[in-house]
This record gives sequence, C-alpha cells and structure tokens, in this order.
Amino acid sequence: MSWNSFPIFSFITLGFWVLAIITMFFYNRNSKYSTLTQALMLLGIISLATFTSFLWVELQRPPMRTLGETRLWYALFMPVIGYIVLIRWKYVWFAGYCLLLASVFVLINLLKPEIHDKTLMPALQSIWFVPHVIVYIISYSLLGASTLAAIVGLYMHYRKKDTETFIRLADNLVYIGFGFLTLGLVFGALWAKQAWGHYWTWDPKETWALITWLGYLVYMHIRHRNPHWKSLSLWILALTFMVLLMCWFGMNLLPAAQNSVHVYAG
Amino acid sequence: MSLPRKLWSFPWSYAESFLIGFALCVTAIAIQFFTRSFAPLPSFPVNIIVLCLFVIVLILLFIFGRNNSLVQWMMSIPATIGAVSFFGLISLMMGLIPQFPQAPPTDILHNITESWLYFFSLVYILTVLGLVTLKRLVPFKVKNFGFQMNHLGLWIVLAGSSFGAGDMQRLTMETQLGKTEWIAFNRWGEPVEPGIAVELKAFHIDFFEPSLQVYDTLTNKSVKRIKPAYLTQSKTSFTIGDYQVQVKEFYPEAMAMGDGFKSFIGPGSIPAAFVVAEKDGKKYEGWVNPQNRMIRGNTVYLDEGLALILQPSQPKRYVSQVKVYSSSGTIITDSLQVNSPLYIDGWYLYQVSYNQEMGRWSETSTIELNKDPWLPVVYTGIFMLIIGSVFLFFRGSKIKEQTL
Repeated sequence: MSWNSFPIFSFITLGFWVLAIITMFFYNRNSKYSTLTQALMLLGIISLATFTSFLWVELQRPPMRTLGETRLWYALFMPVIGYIVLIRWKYVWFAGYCLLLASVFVLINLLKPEIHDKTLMPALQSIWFVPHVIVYIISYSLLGASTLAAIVGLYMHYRKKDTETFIRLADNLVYIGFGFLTLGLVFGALWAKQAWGHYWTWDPKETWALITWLGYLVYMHIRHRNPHWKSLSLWILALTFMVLLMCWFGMNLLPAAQNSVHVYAG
Repeated sequence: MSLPRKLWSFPWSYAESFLIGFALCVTAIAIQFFTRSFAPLPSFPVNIIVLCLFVIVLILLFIFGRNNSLVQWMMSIPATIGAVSFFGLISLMMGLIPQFPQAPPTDILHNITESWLYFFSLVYILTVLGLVTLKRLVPFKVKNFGFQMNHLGLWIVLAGSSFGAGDMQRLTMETQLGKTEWIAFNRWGEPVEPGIAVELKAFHIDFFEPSLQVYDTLTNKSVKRIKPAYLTQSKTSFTIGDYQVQVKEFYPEAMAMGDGFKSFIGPGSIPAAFVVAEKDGKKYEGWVNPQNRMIRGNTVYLDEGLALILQPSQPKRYVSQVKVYSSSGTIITDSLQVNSPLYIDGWYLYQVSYNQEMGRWSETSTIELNKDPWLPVVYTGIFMLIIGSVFLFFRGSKIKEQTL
C-alpha cells in the first residue's frame, strides 16, 4: 500500500462524504437521515484512516514529513472534529463545512501527490516526532474549524443577524485548539533541546508558530475583556488563521526561511 | 474567570497601551543608534541579582501600588494586549527579515534578538505578565490554579530563558579519530577550554538504501508521482512508472573501472547499478550512479526527456563512540548520536556533523558542547504550561456547558 492506491481510497472517502453532505440537507427532518449522515461521515473517516495506517506501515516511518502527508492528517482530523461537533451540538452546517474542507485537502493530494520517499533524516528520528506533529494537526484542525465559525459569524454580523452562536462555538474551539497549539509548541521546544542543543533558536518556523500563538492569545484576551466587540474578535480570529497558514505552507516562499530546518519537500 | 468589576473603569486602556509600546520602540531604536551597542546580556552573578531586584520591584509595586492607577493599568488586559502586540510585532519582523547573529548594532533589523527593541519588549511583557500573575496569586484560590499554570509558567519560561541567556555556552568541538580533544570554539570562533575532553574511539554511519528514481531532464527534478525503487541487491526487477526495470548488477559501494564499476569498499566509493529498462518493447540500458569528486555521474536516458538516476544514499544515523573526561574526574564511555545527547558535569554533548566528503570513512566528528544552568528553570515553566494547556481543554468545555 502506498500513494499508488491513494486514488481508490480517496474516491471511496469522497464518495461517502459527498453522500453525507447530501443527506445533511434532510438531517433534521427524520432521525433515519441523521443516522445515515453520521454513518456516511464515519465510513469516509474509516476509509481514509485505513489508508493512512497502511501508508505508515509501508513507508516504514510516520507519514508526517512532507506537506502532502500533513494534509492527509488534516483531512482525517477535520471530519472527526465535525463529527464530534455534530453529535454534541447538532451543528449540521458545521459538519458539512468540515467535510468540504477535508475533501478539498484530499483533492489537493490527488492532484499533487508526493514523492514516495522513505528516508527520514536523523534529526526527525525521535520519540517527539509523532506527538509533536499529531498535536499540531489536531490544533490546526480545531483552529481551522474556529475560523469557519468566525467567517460565518462575520457574514451574519454584516447581515445584521445574531452572531452569538457562532462566536460561542469559535470560543470553544479556540480554547481547545490553543491548548493543543501550546502543547505542540512546547513539545517542539523539548525536542529541539534534544536534537539541536537549544529549546528555542528563532528558526523561522518557530518564529511563525510563536506569532500564531500570540495571535490567538490576543483573541482570547480581547474576548475576555470586551465580549461585545464581536466583529473585531472575529476578524482577529480570521486574520490569525492567515498567519497559521503562513506558518504551515507559506514558509518555503519566505526569504527569511531559506535556511530553516523546517523547510521540507512537497 | 471574570476579572473584578473595578478594572473596567480604568482611565488607561488600549490606546495608551499601544502608545507606550510605540514609545518603547522609539526609545529602543534611539538608544541602540546613539550608543551603537547591543542590549545588555548579563551573566552570573549579575543576572541573578538583576532578576531578584526585578521580582522585588514587581512585588513592591503590587503591594504598595495597588491603588495607583498606573500599576492598575499594568495589571490590565489592555496593557497585556499592548505588550503581546509589541512582542508579536518584533517576532513578525524576525519572521520576515533574515537574521544574522554577526550583524552589527547599527543593523538592528538583521539582529533583533540582541537589540534593545527585543530587550524592551521583554521588559514590557515580563512586567505586565508578572503583575497580572501576582494579582491572581495573592490571595491564592484553587480555582486560579489553571490560570497560574499558564501565566506564571509563561513568566518563568520567558524570565528563565532571557536572564539565563548570558550563562549559556554553546561550543563546537572537532574530534579526530583516535585522538583526545579538549579545545572547543565559541560562536565567534575563539578557542575555549570547557574542562571537558573527548576521545573519538570510532565513528559509524548507517545509510538508507540508494534509490532508483525517474528524473525529468527538462525541469531538472525527480518525478514525484513515480515511486522510486530502493536497491538492496543485484538481479532484482521493479516497475518504475511505465517501465519494467531489471537490475543486472548492483554494488552498494563501487569504484569506476574501465567502462563499468567494480565493488570497492573504501573512501571515495559510490553506489552503482547496471540497469535495463523496458517499455513497449524498447530497451534502455546502462550504468547509473551518483557523482562524487572523483567519479562522473551516469544516467540512463528514457523516452520523453525522462531519465533513470541513482539517488545517493541518505544517512540514516551516525554514531560517535566517545570517551568523555571531565575536569572533576568523571569519565563516561558511551555512544553519541543525533537526538540522543550525553550528559556530563553540567554539559550536554550533541552529535552535530562529520566530514561529509568522506561519508562513512569520515575520521572527524563534530560535537556541540552545551551548558545551560538555567535549563531546570525553563523546564519548570514548560512543565507548568503543559499542565495549563490541559486546563484550557476544560475551560473550553465549561463555556459550552454555560451557553449551549
């Protein structure tokens, strides 16, 4: 099993998710539909999870090194978060968005597959590798989800409709996502100490991760102090996600990052 | 976790916080420009004394200045946002502008971590964060435990790493096979005697297998879609893209001999394979090998501007067998590799590099010696932040219980 079999699994996954999105339109009409939606979401997740675990075995290393591999994890975790939000708060629209976003990531990987490289440089061979990346991807998924809530909230704000539901959802997601973001940063620091001799070297990826972290810090403090500044808070949330994307994907383009130890192929 | 009501009516708010940040910024640039010096980086014992004084000032401000509106502002969220934004802006500059530790003081933007700008932003954030932490620490309440883990933890990480920076030593030592080395070099290239001697007893590298890849001669890149084949032995065949490839001969280590290659285990050797690729009845054959200083690289050209190349082996791990002596008389014999440092008498030893030209025949191994007496302080803060993040998960769920 390798990226060669990715098309099969991704078509199965996308098939389930497209059907799930269609059934979502009838979600509240009948309990049979809601069960069907949830089942379809889960089947898609299981299909992608199966592929990911086989890929892990085949590559003989954790599939977390290249950007394409991190997109794969994102496509896996995003629907999981959508599923939990759907079960817990019954936000159908939200689960739908999560599926849509995950599908986009699956499609990107379909159109732009990665090199099938099994080499893992010595610096990455550490017990910290898997927790560091997994924690970050969970965090990015949650914060991506909070951005969705923020965008819908902003839309509602400019349509002069109530934004309370969306900002509350964003808050929940940001707190949990920020917890994971902190863990990711801190695990990275502990790993860096072991691999490079210092826990913080202002490597461009570290710097951008810190800026992202500070952005969410500002959001949480403003929400705490001025809960009525809703549109400002939502804007901060949306803009901070831009910084997060910069940290995740934009690194390779930066002149400041040409010597970064975090710039990888793909 | 809402703040006391009285905080809402303070005269100073966001505007003042940003203006103070801006004033600090201008002052910092002026100091650096006129004195042409970097911000101070005190080492032991000055750093400890300054840190203690700083903490005492914060405590005194907290005790006697509680009713002073300036101190009250320093404990407010607008001041927090001002300080965090200032620090964030400086980080953003570091994220956008390449940094050079050798840049002189007049070149502020290329050496921010040593600048007064960075120094002032740290003082701003440590003051506000310190006072905010004190405010919630006294009187101590159990419900503030998570808050303390996050805020005090962050304060300890920032204070420990910045005040401890002057005591940190990072030295590079070049060790030679069979010899004992006791001189290391600091980042300015000056020799230092760290009181640690390292004898390199053996050096060893494991490689990943070399891989046969399809290369696009037009774009000068490997074709990422096509899965490479990892070579371990002769007389094997693979499907690579649309081609059926037979490996007739394969030598993990070889030397050019006449028109071909022969197995040779020694310095200067490279992997080489004789391959036959077949597609639609057409055959393409020849030697493939990466190049080095002595040997020219060979590729087998296929159709459509494609070629088969042999990608050189990537190192899987490199290990130095070392005997380390400290001036206190401690002797450790152990192996040193990336991600697994050695500890002796306050020093961490890291495997950094080796003679890449010589590869597995390298007779030198570069080791970093690292001493950071403040590491336990920073780790205490990091440990508190880990606990604090778990509290954030619960805080998130608390909001949903209240509102949904």
